[in-house]
Amino acid sequence: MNLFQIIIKQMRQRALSTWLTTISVLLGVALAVGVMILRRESQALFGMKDFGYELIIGPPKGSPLQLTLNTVYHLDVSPGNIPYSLYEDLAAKTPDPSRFDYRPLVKIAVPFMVGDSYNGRRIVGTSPEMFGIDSATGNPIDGDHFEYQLDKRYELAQGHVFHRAKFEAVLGSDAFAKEHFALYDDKLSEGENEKRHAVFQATHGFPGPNDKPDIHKPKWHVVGALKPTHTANDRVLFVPVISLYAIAEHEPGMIDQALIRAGFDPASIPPEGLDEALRKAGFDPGTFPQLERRRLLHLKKPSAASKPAEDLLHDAAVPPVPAAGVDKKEGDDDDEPAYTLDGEGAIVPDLPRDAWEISAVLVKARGQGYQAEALKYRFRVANVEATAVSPAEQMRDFFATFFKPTTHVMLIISLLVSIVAGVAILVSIYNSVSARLREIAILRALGATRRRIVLIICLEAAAIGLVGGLIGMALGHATGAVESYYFNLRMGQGIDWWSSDAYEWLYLLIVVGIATLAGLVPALKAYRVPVATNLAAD
Amino acid sequence: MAIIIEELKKVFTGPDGSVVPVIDIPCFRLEAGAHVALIGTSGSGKTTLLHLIAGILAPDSGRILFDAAPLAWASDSPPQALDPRLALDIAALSEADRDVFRGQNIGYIFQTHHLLGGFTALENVLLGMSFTGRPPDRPWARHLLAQVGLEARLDFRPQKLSLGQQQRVAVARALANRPKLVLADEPTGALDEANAQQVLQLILRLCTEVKASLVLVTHDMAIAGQLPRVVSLADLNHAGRLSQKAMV
Repeated sequence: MNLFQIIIKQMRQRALSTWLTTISVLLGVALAVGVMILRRESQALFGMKDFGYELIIGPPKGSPLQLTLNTVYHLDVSPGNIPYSLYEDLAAKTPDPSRFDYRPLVKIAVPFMVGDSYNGRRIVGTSPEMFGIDSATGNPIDGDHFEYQLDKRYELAQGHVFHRAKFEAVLGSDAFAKEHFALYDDKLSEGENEKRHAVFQATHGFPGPNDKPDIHKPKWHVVGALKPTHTANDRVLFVPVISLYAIAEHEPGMIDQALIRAGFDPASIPPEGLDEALRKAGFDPGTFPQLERRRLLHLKKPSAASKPAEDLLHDAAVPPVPAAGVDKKEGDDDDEPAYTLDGEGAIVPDLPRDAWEISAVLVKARGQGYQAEALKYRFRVANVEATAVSPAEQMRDFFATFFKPTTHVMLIISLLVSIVAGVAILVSIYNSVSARLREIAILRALGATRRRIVLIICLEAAAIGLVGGLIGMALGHATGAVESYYFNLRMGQGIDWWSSDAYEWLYLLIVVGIATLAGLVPALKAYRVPVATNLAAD
Repeated sequence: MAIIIEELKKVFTGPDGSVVPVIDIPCFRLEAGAHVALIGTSGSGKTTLLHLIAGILAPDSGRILFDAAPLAWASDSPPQALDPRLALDIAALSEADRDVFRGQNIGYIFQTHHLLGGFTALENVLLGMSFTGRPPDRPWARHLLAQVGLEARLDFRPQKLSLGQQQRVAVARALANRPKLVLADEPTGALDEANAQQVLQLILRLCTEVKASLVLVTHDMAIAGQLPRVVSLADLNHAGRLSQKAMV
């Protein structure tokens, strides 16, 4: 019998004690490895540096981190809105002498609007440019495409990109698959497509579990599904941003915000001053929607207007202010369509263009150096309507400020747990040596030297450390799988819980080292076992 | 293997600090292949003498010389020969060297079997081969167990064997390394008469088979009488110079 067979035999003889000790080791290792995976993968997830765009232009409210988390990871609530005209300026292809010319600085700009949801998934309003299609022509863009990550574009798995102004949608891979959507088939009736789940309606905001969902009337046709990007965008339903302006419920909020920006309180505008207020807010009183005019004239409570107006296009679950005298119910929008269709069937929202707002603009600068910095500078200094943040900078700071120290502490805790497990090995083997003095004496009588006995005890401890460590690593990775599931659930983006790195193996080595050292104490006790005395002790 | 003991002394210190002489043998010689029964009263120091010969204990003084020629010695640096013919004094070896020497050359049978409970009969015999530095000889282990009548119980753990069977496994284990010397400490002491006889005959037969010298300690004259030579420890101890009171 070789040494290892002897060790395994002796461990099996004390199976319960051996397993209990092994379990204490594996729990410590599992905790540590789980933290290591979380630390490593969260760095990859949140510390992402390879964004496909340099800047997010968003409202100068909230924090830059909030804007980044909301836009990139679809976490947190949107900090507010910016005028749609700002996007038009950033994306302009021809210069307007009255507006700042961003063309030398901006290569690609795509709008980004949030506020509605479908079954807990975010609906994002954007333009076909996000998917490499020219809004004006409907054809693929020649030259640079928008990239969600460096060198990574959205690609269609099936279908086509939505029209810039129709109730059409392109779904992220997870949203399409998990919600069991089908592509809209023009040959079938609307009803049949609804049955095939090729049509959906948006819910206003993200209603809580006990909230009555406020479902918008328009129905979007699913015309495309994206290939997996392994980002939070896989959970998203993308629709044309213009289609969101055609929702009757969105109108009041946007109009109120425009009035507030112009210095009016929508709830206290006197009837005789309404046209003047509308003019100052950028609306044409002659074409202003009658429904909205009636609403503004009937608003009585000064406090009722401004707050909902802020929330209307945010993620808040607060329903919009209903038209006076109308008790809104589920699916019961104002019933009066808030849009018309032009000759090509494209949506023409009733909402005046000046009231259009978006949550952010994703900007790919013409260069990562001067151009990106100049844009940032311009928005921080010269533009009070919006601010520019670098998502890469924000995420790097976020990781360094919050995540890294937290995982540091967790790592230290798990190391302490491993040391406690080492002490458990010491106690367990020390007790077993005390109970095995006669066995040790017999081995000595059979010719085992003191050193051999020390080796046997230390190897036994090391074996417990190794087995516990390996099972602990496996369990740690299983914990990583749970973490991945959680991340996926929250952000639509999992983590690589399967692969291990050099640090894990180094940690395993340390654990085995601690275990071996823990075995040294009982081994020294065994070293001193007097053979003759213990052979006689029967 | 011949053994010569010269001026061997061992004392124990009592709990009260008193010095108790146990072994004081001016001279004792055992010829190669000889079988001898060592008799003495309980507590007379018989086990201590076996422990000294086996190197489990170190003497306070004196020499225990082993005939060099037939010895197996695996150590890199053999101890200095004291005599051209008698090359090895186990009393002069370090503890580690004594352990190695014992594992390779001496088979030890205890009064109680001292088998390891977590190991089967076969594994217990193989365990006896584990500390020699040589690869385990599984066929020989099976042969020994067959010789002691346990070929059908190779995979039985000691708890599943009778007392007599356990002692027979212990006999097989002592012979596992084809030792030059077998030390048997009251090997039949815990057995009934029938089993005692069976075990004794096995020891004698197997020692003859491997050409091992045998020192068998017993206080049973019926057992001792079956060996060619009977020696009294009291006679060895300076012809009884140590008082009976001093024996422990």
